[in-house]
Amino acid sequence: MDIREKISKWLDLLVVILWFFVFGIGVGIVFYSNDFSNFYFLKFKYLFLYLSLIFIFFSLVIRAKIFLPNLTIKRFFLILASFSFGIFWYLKSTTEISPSHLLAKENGKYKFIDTDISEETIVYGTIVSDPDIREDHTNIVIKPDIIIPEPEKYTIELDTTNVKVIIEKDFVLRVIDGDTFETKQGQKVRLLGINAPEVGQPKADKATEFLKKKLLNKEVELIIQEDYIFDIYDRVLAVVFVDEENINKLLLEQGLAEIYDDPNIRIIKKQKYGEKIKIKGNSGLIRAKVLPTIGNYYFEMNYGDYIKIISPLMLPKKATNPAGFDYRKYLNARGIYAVTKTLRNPQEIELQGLGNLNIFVKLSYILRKKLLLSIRKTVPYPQSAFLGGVTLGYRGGVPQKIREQFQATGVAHVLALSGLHTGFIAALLLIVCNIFKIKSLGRFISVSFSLSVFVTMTGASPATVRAALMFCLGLFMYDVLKLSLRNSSRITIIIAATIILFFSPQLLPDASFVLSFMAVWSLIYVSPLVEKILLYSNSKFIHQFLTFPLFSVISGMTVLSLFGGILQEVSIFRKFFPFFTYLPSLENLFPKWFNVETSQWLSKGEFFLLSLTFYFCGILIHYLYSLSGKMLVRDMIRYPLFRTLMKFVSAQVAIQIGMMWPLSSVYFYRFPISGFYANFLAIPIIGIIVQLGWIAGLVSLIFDFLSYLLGIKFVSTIGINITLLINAFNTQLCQMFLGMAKTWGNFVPYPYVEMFSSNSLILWFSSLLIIIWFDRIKHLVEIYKIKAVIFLSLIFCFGLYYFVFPQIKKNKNVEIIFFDVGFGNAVLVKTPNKNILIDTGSPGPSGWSSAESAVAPTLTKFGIKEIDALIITSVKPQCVGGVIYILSHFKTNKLYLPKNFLDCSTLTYYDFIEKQNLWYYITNPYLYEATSLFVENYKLSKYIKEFYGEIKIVSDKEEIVINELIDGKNFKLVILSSEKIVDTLDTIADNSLCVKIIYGNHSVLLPTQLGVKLQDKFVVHFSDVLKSNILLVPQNGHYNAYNEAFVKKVSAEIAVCQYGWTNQRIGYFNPSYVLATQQKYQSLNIKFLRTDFVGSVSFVLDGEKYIYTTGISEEEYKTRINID
Amino acid sequence: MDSATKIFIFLLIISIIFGTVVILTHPEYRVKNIYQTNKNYYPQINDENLNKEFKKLFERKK
Repeated sequence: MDIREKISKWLDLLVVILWFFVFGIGVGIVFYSNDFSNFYFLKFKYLFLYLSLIFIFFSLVIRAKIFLPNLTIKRFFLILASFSFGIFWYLKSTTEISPSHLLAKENGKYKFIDTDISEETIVYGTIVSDPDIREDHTNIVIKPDIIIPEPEKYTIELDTTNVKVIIEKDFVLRVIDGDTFETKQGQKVRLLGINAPEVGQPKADKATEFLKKKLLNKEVELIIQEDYIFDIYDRVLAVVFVDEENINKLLLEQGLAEIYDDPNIRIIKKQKYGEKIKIKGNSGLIRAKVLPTIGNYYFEMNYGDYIKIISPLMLPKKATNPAGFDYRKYLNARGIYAVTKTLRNPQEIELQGLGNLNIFVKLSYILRKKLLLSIRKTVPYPQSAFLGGVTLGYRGGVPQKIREQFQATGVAHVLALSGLHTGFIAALLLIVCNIFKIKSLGRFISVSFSLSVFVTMTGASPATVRAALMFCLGLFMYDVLKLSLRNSSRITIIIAATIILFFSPQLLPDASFVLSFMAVWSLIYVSPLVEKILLYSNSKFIHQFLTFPLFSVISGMTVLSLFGGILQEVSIFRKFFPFFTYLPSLENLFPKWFNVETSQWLSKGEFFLLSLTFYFCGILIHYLYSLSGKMLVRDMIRYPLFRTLMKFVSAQVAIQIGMMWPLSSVYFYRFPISGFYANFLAIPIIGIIVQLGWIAGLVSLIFDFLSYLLGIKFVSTIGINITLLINAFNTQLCQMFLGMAKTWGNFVPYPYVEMFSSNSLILWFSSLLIIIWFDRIKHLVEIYKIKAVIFLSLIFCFGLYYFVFPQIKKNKNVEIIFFDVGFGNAVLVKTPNKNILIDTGSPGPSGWSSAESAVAPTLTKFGIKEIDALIITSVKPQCVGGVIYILSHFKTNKLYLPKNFLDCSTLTYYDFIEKQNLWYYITNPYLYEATSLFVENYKLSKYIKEFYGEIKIVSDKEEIVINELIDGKNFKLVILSSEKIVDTLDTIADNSLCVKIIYGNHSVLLPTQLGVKLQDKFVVHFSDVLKSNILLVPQNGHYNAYNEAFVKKVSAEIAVCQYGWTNQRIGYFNPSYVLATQQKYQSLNIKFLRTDFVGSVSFVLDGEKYIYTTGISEEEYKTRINID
Repeated sequence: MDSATKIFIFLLIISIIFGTVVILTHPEYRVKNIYQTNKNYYPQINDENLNKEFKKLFERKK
C-alpha cells in the first residue's frame, strides 16, 4: 500500500476518534469539570480541544476523499486562505468588544482579583460598548486604563488658583509637636489642613520626631492664605515647604497626620490616592451597573467616553449552590472579570473626556440608535420592545411577563439575537445583492462587510459572531473558491469553532456558544439522517406510525393554537373578523388546562391527550389513503410546500435530538416541550419580522440621509411614512408572535427535567455519532478488521468503566445540603430512598426567588421529581418564600406546617397581625417585614386549599417524619416542637419548629428560627436530644438569637449560618450582627460556616463519619474572613 | 430572479398593502400616537440626542 494511502486511512480513523472525543468527552468536560478532576487532560482541556479541532481540519483537507474529491494544491491553499480570512474577520469584528485576557497588574500579578474585598477602587477607563439602558439602571462595560485599588489614604495638593496667598521665608528654632513649630521671628506656625496626634496619643512622638528631622534649624517657606492667617490660638496657618518638599503632604502620606477638614481652607485640595496600576494592552473588562437611570447625566453616557468610577470592584458572583446560574462564568466568557455598582452621584462616576474611540464602532452604534428611533416612531409598545430586541438586540424594555412566556414556549432564543437572526440578515443581504445583480467577489465583500457592521452593532454575542463568521467563510468558499454549499458548511463549522475557541477559549462552556454550535451541528449532521428515516425510507410502518402522525400532531396543534388564541391577539383580524373575539377562547373552554398554577404538570395527562388525538387521526388518514394503494408521504413531498414543511419537521426533530433534549436540561434544568410545536410557527414568522423590520429601518435611514443631503425635511417625512406602512403590517406579525408565546406558554408545560449527567451526555453523543457515521465505521472495520474491532471494543469498555458503572453503583449515604439562599433557610436532606426539603428560602421577583434560582435547579440536578416531605419550620418569609413555587413544580407528598400557621386567605392584614399576637407590628403596621409576612402567608393559605398532598400542622412534642434503616444503620428525621407560646416579643420565632436528623453515629440539628425563649425551653425539654455534630445557627445568625446554654447543650463541631443578601431585604439585618454571633461560636471552638462567604454547604454522612464541601472554596475567602 | 427574491418582493408588496389597510382602519395608528406609547421605552433615544451625538462624532474626528 502506498504510504500516502496508509497515512490517509489512519487519518480517517483518527478523525472519527477525535470527533468522538471532542463531542463526547469535550462536552463532558465543559459541563462537569469537577466530575473529571481525576482526568489527566483536565488541565489541558483547551489545548486538547485546539489540537483536536486543528487536527480535524487539516486531516479533513489532507484526507481529500472525505469531503473534497477534487482537491488540488491550489484549492488547499485557498482553504488555508479562507482560514486566515476567518481569523482576520473575527479579530476585526470583535477585538474591540470582547478581548480575552485577564486583567493584569504591571508586574504580571493578578492583584486586581483581591479588590473583591476592597472598600473602594478608582477606575479610569473607556466605555467599550453601547450602554445597555434598562428600566431602573444602565449597564456599561469599561475597558480600564488605570486602576487604583483601595485608595484609603488621602493626600493634599497646594492649589493657589483664584486664592491670594502670602509667601514668607523663616527659620525653624523649635518643634513643639507633630504639627506646630516656632520660628526665628517668634511666631508659632501650625501646619494647615492636617492634624497630627496630640501628646500622649499613639504616633504623637513619631510625628514630632519626623517634623524635627525635617524642619529643625532649617529655612522654610510658608504659604499662607491671605484671608485665613491665624487660628483661634493666634498661630499662623501655613503650608510649609522645605527644599520644595510639601511637609503637610508628607506627614499625611507617612500616616503621621490626618486630614483636617475646615471650610475656610481654600489653598489645599484634598485627594484620595493609592497605588496606581496602569493597564497595558488588552485587559479584562469591567461591567458597571449605574443606578438609577433617571437624570440626564447618565443618558449622555456613550460608547467611547472616558470615565472615572469610584466604587468597590467585585468578582462576578459565582454559582454558590450545587446547581444554578454561574454569573462569573457567563461574564468571563465575555471578557469581563470584575463588576461594580455605582450611584448617579457625580462623586462616584465622572465623565473625564474622550477615550479611544473606534469610529467604525461608534458609527455602528449611532446607526443602531437611528434604527431604534424609527421603531419608536412607527411601532406601538410593547411590539416596539419586541421588534427592537429581535432586530437590533435592545434587550431592555421587554415586559417580564412576555419574557417568561417566551421561555416557557421554548422560543426565548428569538428574544436574544442568535445565529438564526444573523441567518435572516444574511439571507436578506443575499436577496439585496441578487436584486442589484452583485455577484461573486463583490457579493462576498459587501455581505461580509455588512455582517461585520451588524455584529458590531448588536454587541457581538457569541452566537451572532459564530453565525456571521460561518456565513462569511461559507460565502468565501462558495463565491471565491467555488465549492459546493454542502461541503463548505461542513468545513466552515470546524474552521469557525477553531478560530473562536483559539481566540476566546473561555467561551467553551458558554451556553450561547455551545447551543449555537450544536444547533448548526445538528442541522448539518443529524438532519440528513432524520430526513432519510422520516421522508425517504421505504418502510410503510415508519410512514404510517411516525412520519405522517408526527406531521399531523404538529400541524393540528399549530392550527388549534392559531385559532384558539394567536389570531385573537392580532388587531387587524379583530377588526375584519370580529367573530374571532366572540369565539370562546381555549382558556374559557378548558379552564383547568389553563390554570397557571397547575399547567406545569399537564404533561402527565391533558396535553398529551390532545396530541394523541391528532396522532391517531394521522394514523387513520394515512391508513385510509393507503387503501387506494398509494403512499401518502411520497405523494406529499412531491409538492414544494409539503416538502418544505416535512423537511422543516425533520430539522426540528434533528435539533431536538442533537441539541435541545440533551443540553436544555444541562443549561436550564428545564425542557420547553412546546418548543417543538411553537418553532413550527415561530421560525418562519420571526424570519419575516426581522427582515421586514430591517427593510423598514433602512428605508427610514436612506430617506433621512437624502433629506440631509438635499436639505429638504419633507423627504425624511416620506421615509418615515413608508416605514410606518411596512411596520404597520409588521406590528400585526409581532402581535401574532406575542400571541403565540402567550397561548403556547399557557398551553404547554415547561417542566423541570432530569439533567443529563456527564456520562449520559457522552453516551448520548457517542451513540449519535455511531449512528451518523455508521457507514464510515463499518467501512473502517472492514479495512482494519480485527484491529479495529479490538480498538473499538476497548473504547467501549473504557466508556463503560468510567461512565456507566459509577452511575449504577448505588449511593448509600445521606446528603444534607444547606443552600445559599441569601437571607433565608432552605435545607435538603437526601437519603437513598427519600427526599426531604426543610424550608424554601426567601421570596423574590419571578426568576430570582431562592426556590427558583437555587433550590429547584439543585433538585433537578439530583434527579428529584418527588419530595416526600416538605417541612416549613416557621411562617417567616425567609422560610416560606419559595414554597408555592416548589409545590407547583415538584410533586410533594406531605407538607408539615408550624402550629401557629394561620389560614389568612379570608383575613384582613390587621386581623392577621392581631390573631398572630404580633403587638409590635400592630403599633408599627407599615413595617416591610410585617406586610411581607402577611403577603407570604396569605399566598400560602390560598394555595394549599388546592394542595393534593397531605398537610400536617405539627402540634406534638416530637413528630417522627422518617425512621428507617439505611445500610444497616438507623436513620431518623424528627420534628421537635413545644407547646404554643402566645405572650412573647416574637411569637412567630417562639412557635417555630426544630428538625433533628440522626444517621448512625452522627446527628444534625436545625433550629432554623428558634427564638431565645424557645431555646431555653428546648434545653429543658429535649436535654437528651439536642446534642449534635452539626448545627444550623438560629435566626440566620442574629446575635439576639444566641443562647449560650442552648449552643453548649448542642456542643456541635460545625455551625452553618444561612445568611446573606437578597433582593427583597425582608428581615435582613446588618452583617455586624452575624459577626458578633460568629465570634461567640468561635470562642466555643465551633467552626462557623457562613453561606454568604462559602456558598452552599453539603454534608455527606455514611453513618460512621461525615465530610463536607462548600460551594466556594474556603481558600478563596480566607483573606476575607478568618473562618477558623 | 430566483424564487427567494420573488417571495421577498411579493412579501414587501403585501406588507405595504396590508400596512395601508391597517393605517386606514386604525385611526390611532399614527406616528404621533405611536411615539406616545413608547414614551418609556428608551426615551433617551430621540432626534435631539442623536443629532447631538452625530455632531459630536464629527467634532471628535476634527
